[in-house]
Amino acid sequence: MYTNLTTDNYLWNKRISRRHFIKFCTTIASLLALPPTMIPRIVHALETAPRLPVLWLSFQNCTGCSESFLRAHTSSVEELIFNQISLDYHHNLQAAAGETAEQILATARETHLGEYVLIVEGSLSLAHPGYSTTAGESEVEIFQRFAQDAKAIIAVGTCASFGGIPYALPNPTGAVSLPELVANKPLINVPGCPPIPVVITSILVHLITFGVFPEMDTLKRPVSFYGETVHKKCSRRQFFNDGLFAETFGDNGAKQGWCLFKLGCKGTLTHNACATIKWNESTSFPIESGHGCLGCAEPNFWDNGRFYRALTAATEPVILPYLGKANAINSTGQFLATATTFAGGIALTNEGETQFQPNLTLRLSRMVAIHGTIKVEPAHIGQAADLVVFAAYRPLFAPANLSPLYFLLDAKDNILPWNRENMIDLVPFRQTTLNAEQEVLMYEGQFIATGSLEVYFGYRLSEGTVVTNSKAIKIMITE
Amino acid sequence: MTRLVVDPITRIEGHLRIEAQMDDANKTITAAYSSGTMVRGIEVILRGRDPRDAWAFAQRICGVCTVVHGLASVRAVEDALKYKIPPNAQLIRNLMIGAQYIHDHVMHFYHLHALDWVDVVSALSADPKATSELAQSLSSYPKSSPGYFADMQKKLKTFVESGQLGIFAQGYWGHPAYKLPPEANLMAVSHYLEALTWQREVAKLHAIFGGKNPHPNFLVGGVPCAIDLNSDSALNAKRLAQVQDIIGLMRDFVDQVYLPDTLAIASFYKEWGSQGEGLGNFLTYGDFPTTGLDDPTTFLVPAGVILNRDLSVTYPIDLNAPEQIQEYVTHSWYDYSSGKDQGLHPYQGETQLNYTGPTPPYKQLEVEKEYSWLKSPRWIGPDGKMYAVEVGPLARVLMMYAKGQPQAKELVDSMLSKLNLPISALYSTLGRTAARTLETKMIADLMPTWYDNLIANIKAGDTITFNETLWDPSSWPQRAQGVGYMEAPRGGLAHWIVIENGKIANYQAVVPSTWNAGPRDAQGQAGAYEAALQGQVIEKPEQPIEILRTIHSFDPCIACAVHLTDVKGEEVLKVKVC
Repeated sequence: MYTNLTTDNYLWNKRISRRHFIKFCTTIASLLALPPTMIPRIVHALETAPRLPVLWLSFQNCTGCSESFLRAHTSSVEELIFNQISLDYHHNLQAAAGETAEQILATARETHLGEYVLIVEGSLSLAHPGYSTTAGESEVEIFQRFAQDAKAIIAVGTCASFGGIPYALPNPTGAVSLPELVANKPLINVPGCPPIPVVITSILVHLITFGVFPEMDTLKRPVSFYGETVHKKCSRRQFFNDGLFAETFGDNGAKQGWCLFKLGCKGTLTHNACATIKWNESTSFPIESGHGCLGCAEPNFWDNGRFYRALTAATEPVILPYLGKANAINSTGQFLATATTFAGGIALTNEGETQFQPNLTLRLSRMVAIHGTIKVEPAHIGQAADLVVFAAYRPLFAPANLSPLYFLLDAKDNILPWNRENMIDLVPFRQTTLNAEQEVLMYEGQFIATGSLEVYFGYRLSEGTVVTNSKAIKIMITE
Repeated sequence: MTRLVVDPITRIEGHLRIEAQMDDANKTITAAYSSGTMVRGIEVILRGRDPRDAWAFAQRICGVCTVVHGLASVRAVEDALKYKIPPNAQLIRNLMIGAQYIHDHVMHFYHLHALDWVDVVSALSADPKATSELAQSLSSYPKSSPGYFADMQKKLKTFVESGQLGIFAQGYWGHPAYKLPPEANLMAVSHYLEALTWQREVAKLHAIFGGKNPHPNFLVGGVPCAIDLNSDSALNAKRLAQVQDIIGLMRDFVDQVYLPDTLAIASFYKEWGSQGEGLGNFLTYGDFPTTGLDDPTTFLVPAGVILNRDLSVTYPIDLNAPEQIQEYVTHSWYDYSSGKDQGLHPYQGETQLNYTGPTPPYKQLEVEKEYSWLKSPRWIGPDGKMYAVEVGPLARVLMMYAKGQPQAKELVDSMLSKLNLPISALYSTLGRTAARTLETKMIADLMPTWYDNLIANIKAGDTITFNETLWDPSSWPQRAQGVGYMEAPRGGLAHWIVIENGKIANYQAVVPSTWNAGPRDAQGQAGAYEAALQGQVIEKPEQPIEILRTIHSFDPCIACAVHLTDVKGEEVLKVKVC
């Protein structure tokens, strides 16, 4: 019943300018952090692939995610549905209703078995089948039927990704996220309340081009959009570094763009691209418009602490435990004398707990920050250097004779395995020109596995000398 | 007798099911039943939380009405605490809610409602030149050349010929109820696409003041954005100029596209001026201070109740009076501790989920018993009688008309005279849809006043956007209660909050679509949707377009309307798919 017209035909007929189209492909590639060499592949895929069948189902939702999708600028929803996807079911937009709508949905599934992409907005209620129905059928069953035969599933919004507001305590309807219900089927989470629309668009383009989802983190989020915290690129970040904080809404500091940390901003813990892509065609984002980040792209953000309570007492000078004199090793493996010293520690960032400690035992579910400072010896100040962060890891209950595994943090905060024998492989965490007092904000968020960690950080000079703490930050992570 | 079931009602927000009993002899609906079929529990989730955080939770009641629940929530907290907000904050909130109306109503007309009246397939046979002539005869909107319409038609043609019809698949195209000539269809479909582009631009107003849209930020005690004309990091001269541009975009589209399209389309559907009449009782809470400040005497839309289509009398309304507004659960899947036939004022509101409907999958609801996740709010009049009422644009326009508001009178009279319809035609599906357009025009015209007031304030040296005095919960009384009310795009909206020891002790939202879409009450009186469908003739029962027309004329928003509460520890069922 479907002819095989490709996107190419549409582009011709739409008289979309080639330049505009290439620009779109380039934007998408850069958003997905793909190398420029991939652009021709995206262009080719979009020009030759039949439009991707997409079914968008709404369960326990507020339709904010669909509304966000309608605000997409790259590409716009009308460009998308005319050129790149075939939106065969979308309850808020489609002309057909009732039985006809149900027939369309069933037919689309049968026609495109294993080929359609299922987008889901909202959580699912498990407490009672009557809590959420369409056409008299429980939506858990509807989801199961459509998930089974999908090529891939996109969980749009924090409700679908992590449970969201229905899942907030006391979770009156027994709501669960999609990942709770899906095993052995490609699924990507696009959290945010709502998510930034271009993230949805970019994932669809990646899927059309490469047939798979982009690289994901452990929470199944696309790394290119959720790899960094909002804090890292925040427009008010410099004021955080300088210790300048708004004390109340609308005060002089707020007007001057000072950091909103003391007003409860959760940007330091929230992985999302709000500070870089921003909202509504880069018009603004919450922190820019004067309100702290609510943390809406993170699991459990509704229950993770009040929106206006500061995470830690950032107003007090943060005191980091002294970690002693440094180890300095040159490129030939010789130990050198150095006057550089280190301080650093780990803190639980849930409300009220502000103490940075050199040793800590904690549960896997806790939110943490690991910060350090380096008092750089005068001879090194002003030199170009790579900041480095690495850790020795041992699983819980590992035999005593098992050597630790080493991991490092790269510039995108990815955790990568590292062979400690070779210092040259030590990938930089950041590149900088050394200050007398060098701040290293190593890690913010949750850990991904239980076990023990010994955390080291420091810098590598351009001639190869590596200077790190001699006394590690020791962390034990339990279930 | 035939049972018509439309589930899902699409092109709305949320989960709505309509069942209608139809007399086969004259194809007439004898009784209709409206059911909300999804529940989440937000009011329960709000209990025990910090009242200052409540707006963010409440806002997630609905992402379509994205600002209204946030605003009603901060107003409820401020009412409870007697917390005054600065004039600039009031004006910025007015601009945000005004922008929401204009955005929401235009999108409702084109993206949710239009396809009930506009045949997309018919647009393919239009003559672009004649379409251009039609468009230019109606409006000065610049996108009206024959080439423009030819392009639009070509785009549509390619799309339709692909066989992948997406969202336009299997509408009731070709149904005899579609009355527009092909040229009017092509014009309307083109404006459907224009409105998609337009809405992205105007949503930026919310991003400027609130950081993003959907779900911009609010703040108890003011607004979060700071004003400083000389700072790059605050609401500065450049930002304010951008706001002014957006207001211009809004007004141009309303005047040049939305208003003329409404009139043009209505002129082909005049018979809908006597269908979908509904209850004939209307309620408004009042809103839109014309001076910008929170003084009910200056409200553009006054508060009150109209009964039995009698515009000569309006009754006052008191949201705090326990005997005036009550919610019933006789036909809803909830229990009350005082029994199911008792009404409760929202301060005392309860919601205990108790699903007693048929076990899914089911074919038909048990309408003699409980059949919806919506409650039935009712207004109790001075005569002690319980009234089902309609809220929304029609209620507001009628209230303004009844009170003699000059612009409302002029717009209504002019529309009726252009369409050659009597005033009784307002009480209808067509009247509801036209009223939505007329009030959009009035609010769009009010936007520059609020903007100018804001600029004047700033010029006079007032840049205050937040009142810190009652921010700290230690300054609050041990117990306080309040109501935050407003006119939301879909009708009168109020949130009732009880605060104890700095935390939320009870929270109840009675929203427009609960008034309109709720089920029957303890006395068996139908809700507004149900009443509006009664007596409707269905030309082709397998394509019940008439039901969609009337239901869409209310602009349903069901996520908003559903109440929520305690579940008694049902075992969570574990399932795995794939």
